[in-house]
Amino acid sequence: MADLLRTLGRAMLLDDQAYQAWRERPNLFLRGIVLIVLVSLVAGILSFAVTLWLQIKPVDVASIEESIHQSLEWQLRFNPSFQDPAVRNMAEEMLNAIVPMITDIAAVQAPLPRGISGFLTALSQWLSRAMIAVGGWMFYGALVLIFVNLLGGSAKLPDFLGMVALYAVPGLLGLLQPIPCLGGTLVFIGTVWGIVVYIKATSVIGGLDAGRAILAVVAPIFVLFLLALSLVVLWGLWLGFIF
Amino acid sequence: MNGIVESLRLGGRALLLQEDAYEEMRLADNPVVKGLVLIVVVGVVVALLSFIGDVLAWASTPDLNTIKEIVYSHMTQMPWWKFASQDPQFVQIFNRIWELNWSLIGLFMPDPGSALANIILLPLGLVVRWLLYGLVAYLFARWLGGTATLSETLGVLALAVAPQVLNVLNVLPQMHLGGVVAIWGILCAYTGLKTAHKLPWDRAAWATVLPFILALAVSLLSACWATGILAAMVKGG
Repeated sequence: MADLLRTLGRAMLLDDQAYQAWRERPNLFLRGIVLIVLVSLVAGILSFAVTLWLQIKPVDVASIEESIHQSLEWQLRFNPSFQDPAVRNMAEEMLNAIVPMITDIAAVQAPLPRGISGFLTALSQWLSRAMIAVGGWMFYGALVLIFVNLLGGSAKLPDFLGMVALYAVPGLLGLLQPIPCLGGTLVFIGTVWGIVVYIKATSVIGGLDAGRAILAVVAPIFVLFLLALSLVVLWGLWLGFIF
Repeated sequence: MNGIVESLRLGGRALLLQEDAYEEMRLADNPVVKGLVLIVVVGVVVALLSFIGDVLAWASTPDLNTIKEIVYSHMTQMPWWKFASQDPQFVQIFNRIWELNWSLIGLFMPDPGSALANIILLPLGLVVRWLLYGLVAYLFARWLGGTATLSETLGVLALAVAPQVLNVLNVLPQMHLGGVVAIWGILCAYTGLKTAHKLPWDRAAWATVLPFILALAVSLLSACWATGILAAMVKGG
């Protein structure tokens, strides 16, 4: 385990030998899946905790009422149409009807206790993020591999996916996202670092030089964009033609 | 029973894109039957667990009719309603739209009844999709220089159903798998076609995606045809 962590750490510093060591490990594809899932789960653990807390705490009608009142205050202060006394009066009467409605809706109970259903919802959202990350990794990886092959490199699909899964590790910085001011910057650094690791991994497993590895990694973005654009243009032209 | 366990084990190896699993399926005595068993078993297990997930989702959701009644009773006490309800025609039209909207919302609510029907419909759907995709992919693969028979092609493509196992996570209410099952399935189909037909990577990739491109083209042409008819009706009317 310590050896594995050392390899991952060295891979983040773009050490060639670490990439070779990762490549030589058995079941590279399975390792890739486990890595993506683990990083997604760890990076999303705070989000899971917050969702869980929000889901299981009782509905605070008073705070909802307060936020609605605040919103109305803003409208009254800054929205010119709310300066008309008739509109103002109607908005206040509406508010008086909406707040009891929210209170009544909040009192409707589901068959399962709130704690259990809240836990299941938070757990689902947490695991969903990991599954979506796995899907994205496979989809983009397959596209990049096509360009690797077109640019003269070669790699087997499962080995390639297992190798580029290393890009996920800097995503662990996402754990620090809630830190005020610094959090966003750290996530940005993690993203850029992840792209650099992706390019390095592509270069090592595909046998490409750095320039062609960069091209292989970014090319799918342009191709997907052009494809979407041409479909939209064609559809627009067709609609323009028939109507 | 041994056959089912063996098929599931093969499916597990196919899930990890191990080419030898696809080769083993190709060389099996009857790859179509073996594949069919795998698809039906996976389909039934996934549908059963999804049913549990739907029951949990239903049990986690407040009753929609109660919410509908609460909203209606409060809404009819709002100031704008007092003015608007003086016109009986407005009330009639409003009630029609109101019922329609709530019935549309109801379509997205968890329904254990339809999930129960999925125990039959899901394996059936998987089998139909497998046969259709298998046939078209076989034709394209042969056209691109592939060597496998239809039976071998269907056998290896049955292994592409293995990622459906991930749908067991639907036992959790509100679980969203994104496109992972479909993408993984396509990667399995690619590995299967490449191995069974002994195609180079580019031809195997075309054989894998051409059935989807064909389906997309048919859908787009249908959409164009439908909008053309609509336009003719609008212009004519």
